[in-house]
Amino acid sequence: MYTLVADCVSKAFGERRVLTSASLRAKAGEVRAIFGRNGEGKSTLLKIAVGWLQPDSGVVRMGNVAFTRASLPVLARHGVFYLPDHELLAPGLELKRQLTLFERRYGRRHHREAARLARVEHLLDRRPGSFSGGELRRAEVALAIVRMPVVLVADEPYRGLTPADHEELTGLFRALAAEGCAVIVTGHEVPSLLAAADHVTWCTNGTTYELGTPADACEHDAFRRTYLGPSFEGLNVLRKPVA
Amino acid sequence: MRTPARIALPVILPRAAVLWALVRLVVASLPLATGSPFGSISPSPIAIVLLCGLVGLVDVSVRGERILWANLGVQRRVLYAAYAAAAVPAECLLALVHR
Repeated sequence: MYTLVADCVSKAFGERRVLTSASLRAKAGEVRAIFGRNGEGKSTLLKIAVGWLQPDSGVVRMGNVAFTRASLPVLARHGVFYLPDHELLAPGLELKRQLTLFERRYGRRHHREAARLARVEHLLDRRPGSFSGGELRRAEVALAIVRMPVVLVADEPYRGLTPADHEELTGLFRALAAEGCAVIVTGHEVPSLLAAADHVTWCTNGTTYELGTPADACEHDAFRRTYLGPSFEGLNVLRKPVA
Repeated sequence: MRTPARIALPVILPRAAVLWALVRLVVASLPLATGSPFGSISPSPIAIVLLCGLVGLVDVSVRGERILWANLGVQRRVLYAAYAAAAVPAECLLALVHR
């Protein structure tokens, strides 16, 4: 049983058809990675799944509820948390204030505990405008930790981060999944994403292919040839322990 | 657990009050462009309230808070209403002063 499903969605921007029949499935307790070349529609698929963008056709389902015109505020009330590819945090509000908003709204976890888990306690009284890239991403995940979402959808969360930050972020995603959250992540940081993921989806030519486990994905001929490239040496990444 | 409106209002209301003052100032300054005196047009208070709601949505966008509010389950119409609501007592007060 999937927690969140975007089924057979299509989307065109003017003359350009980005998605023809793509699907996204989020499963409780799993981290699912979506790979695909730039412009293949990964972000579009994620935006449709969380209700930030309306598809031309297709349906979004959350549990047993089908949404023909899903919107993020409505899905958020059902437990979806969207981490976009650009900044989520409001630059003008202190981090503590933003975490407190989520704490008061959903009442799932104390903001100090979330800040401690995401290692952003020292940033609580600062505004996100002054954060480094890694701090910003950890602070954004802290919002998700306060929220304790049913589904976390993160678009390119590893972009611009150092390898050390990759490991921390992976630990946070795994920790959320261990608590029963369904996590969807996209990006091009193959080792980090494969280390984080339980399942791999490939988005290409307007559609999606479920490749299975990271080991299965690495054995997939077309995926290896078209996306990973000939120099990819296989799955030699180790999963980090849960934070 | 608080409702979307109860979450949004404490953050939005102080901003909305400032925005209402700016909207009033801009509207009062518009006649200067045609050589007419400052404040020579008197728009309907309802129009000002509605305009404040619209400008408020732009304000949220400029501040980069659209996805933050959406993740909080706060819909655009709630944000619009919060910005417009702040203009209502301000317009009432202004009407009393003008009497």
